Amino acid sequence: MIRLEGLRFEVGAFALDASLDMAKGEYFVLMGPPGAGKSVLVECLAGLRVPSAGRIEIAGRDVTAAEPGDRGVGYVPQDYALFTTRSVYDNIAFGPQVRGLPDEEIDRRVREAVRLLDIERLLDRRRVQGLSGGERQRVALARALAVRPDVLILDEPVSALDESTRESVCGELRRLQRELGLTTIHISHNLEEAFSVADRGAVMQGGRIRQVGRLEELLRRPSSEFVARFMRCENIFLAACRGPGPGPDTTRAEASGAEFVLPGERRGQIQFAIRPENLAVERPGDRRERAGAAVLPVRLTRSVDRGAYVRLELDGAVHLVAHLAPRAFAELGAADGAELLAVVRPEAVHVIPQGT
Amino acid sequence: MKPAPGGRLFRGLTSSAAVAFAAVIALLLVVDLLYILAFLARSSAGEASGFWRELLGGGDWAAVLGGQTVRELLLSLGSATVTTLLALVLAVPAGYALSRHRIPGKVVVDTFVDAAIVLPPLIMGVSLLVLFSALRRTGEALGTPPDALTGEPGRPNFLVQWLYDFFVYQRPGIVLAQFLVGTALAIRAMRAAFDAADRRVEDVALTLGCSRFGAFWRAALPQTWSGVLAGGVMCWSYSVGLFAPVQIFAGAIEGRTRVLPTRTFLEITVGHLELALALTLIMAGIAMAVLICLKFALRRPAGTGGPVS
Repeated sequence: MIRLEGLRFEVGAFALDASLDMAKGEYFVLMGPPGAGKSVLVECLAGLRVPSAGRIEIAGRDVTAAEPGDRGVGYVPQDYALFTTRSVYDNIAFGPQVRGLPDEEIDRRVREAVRLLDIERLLDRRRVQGLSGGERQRVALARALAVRPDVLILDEPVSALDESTRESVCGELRRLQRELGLTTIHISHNLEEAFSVADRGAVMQGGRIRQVGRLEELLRRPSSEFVARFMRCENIFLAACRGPGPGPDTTRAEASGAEFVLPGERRGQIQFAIRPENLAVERPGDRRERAGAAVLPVRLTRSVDRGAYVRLELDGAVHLVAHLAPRAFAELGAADGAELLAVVRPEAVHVIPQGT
Repeated sequence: MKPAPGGRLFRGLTSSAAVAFAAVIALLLVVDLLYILAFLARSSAGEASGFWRELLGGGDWAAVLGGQTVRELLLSLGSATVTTLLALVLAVPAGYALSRHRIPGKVVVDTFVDAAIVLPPLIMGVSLLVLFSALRRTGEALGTPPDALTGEPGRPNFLVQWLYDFFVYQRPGIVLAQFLVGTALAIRAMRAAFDAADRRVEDVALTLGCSRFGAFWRAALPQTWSGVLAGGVMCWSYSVGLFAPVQIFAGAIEGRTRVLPTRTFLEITVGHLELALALTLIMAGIAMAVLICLKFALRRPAGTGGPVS
């Protein structure tokens, strides 16, 4: 549906260099820290920036040199950019109007869009000032949908909304996308938001796409330290392999004096990551099955209740971070300063491919 | 809700700055009025009658309306209005370009726009006259030379001569003299307005099907309505009161190119201070009335956009 081939765009010291494929009807999330080039990439796709090289294909059509209005792209920028001197109706009717559609068709499209977004009640508003953040977003979405685009671009669509409305708005975005079968690109730097809307995504850094794949894959199998850290994996170590591990097809590896057991047969220096939620924390007296796992004596230095989980900071030969379910933490009954054991099973360890 | 004590103090201090300045200007006008009243009080009946005749042109409405003061006032207001419209035609795209585009030598272009404001108005008039004189000489060089055989005199280039005759010591010359500085002020206002406007609305308009020009016209320009108004008001106010370059370039020909500020200046030079002040008060009163009407007519409902100047 969307194919970006060797897309290049330079501005000052920044250079975008990206290739990407998206399937029809896919909800794709583009992630990365500020300055990664997410907005520049979608602006190139929308025709708002002219790439210096590369090819852009939308629905099988080469649109690299096409005008923004001829690409079949609906664009909702971060601040929604509503036309402040126009009424809600005229904002939504803007696209069909400039395309010269007959009045009845314009009216039909406006009413269709407001029904879809459940904002019929806003149609009699003469000005967009005074609308809430959520209402402004819906009007901007309705305006983009009124031209019936093939692709919908949402640039950080919920970043201006308060925490409590984000989740419901994300759910609605997902519903809308499924209902219309729209190929959607959603820019975000928030993992919860990304997981609540998208199937697949990409992580960008410094104008390049570092990894593309299903979100679960980005989370569990990051291809680089950067992606691992971006996906909030804090336990990343550089280790030296020390020979076969206790279990079949495992390797012992040492990082700063701590010994881990890694899956597979490995040699030399390697880098690996352990997601905080995959780290088990036990009391030294617990009689649990630990065969084949690395057991590291640690001291609990800090625990923070984050609602959905408790974040534990553990100091031993290495510094570890673990996320425990509140109930599991209560059962552990550990206070700050408690001596504990961090149990790392080989399947919890993801070895980061070398040279990334 | 009542503001906090600190908020009241802050509001009081900032508001008093605006009120104090307005009060100084009002005081100047009041002092002018008092000066005129004092003159009338100490004048003989003949002197007072002469003052009113000079000021208003006669004793009845027909004489007043057809009088010199009204003619010069209308010329001032009319030329300033034409200047403002022309200035906005140039200032809107120029302000947009200076705000949004990367122009080679933009700093230099920007500085020359400022130079139009910085230069003394008198010098602007002199420069214009020098330019058109040079233009006329060029026109003579480009035209038909004198015929040595028949003795027929040479003819200057038609276009250059037409330009000279159209502007120099003519009413269009008033507009040209006002235009140079008025446009610079309007460009400044427009640039500030475009700088403050959200450029994303243009991007959205483009993706919705607008051409570049369409996005400018339908999306960018409506956002800068307050800038257009501010630029227009600045240009018009400045043009109404301008006299030095107008007098130099367009002259002070009674019934043709003499505007009210020029007349005021001439009255001062011949010692008629009370008449000059009276003309100033008439002009200030009418200009302020026009500005107030304009601001009320064009203002938008509160809270629906940028400030209206």
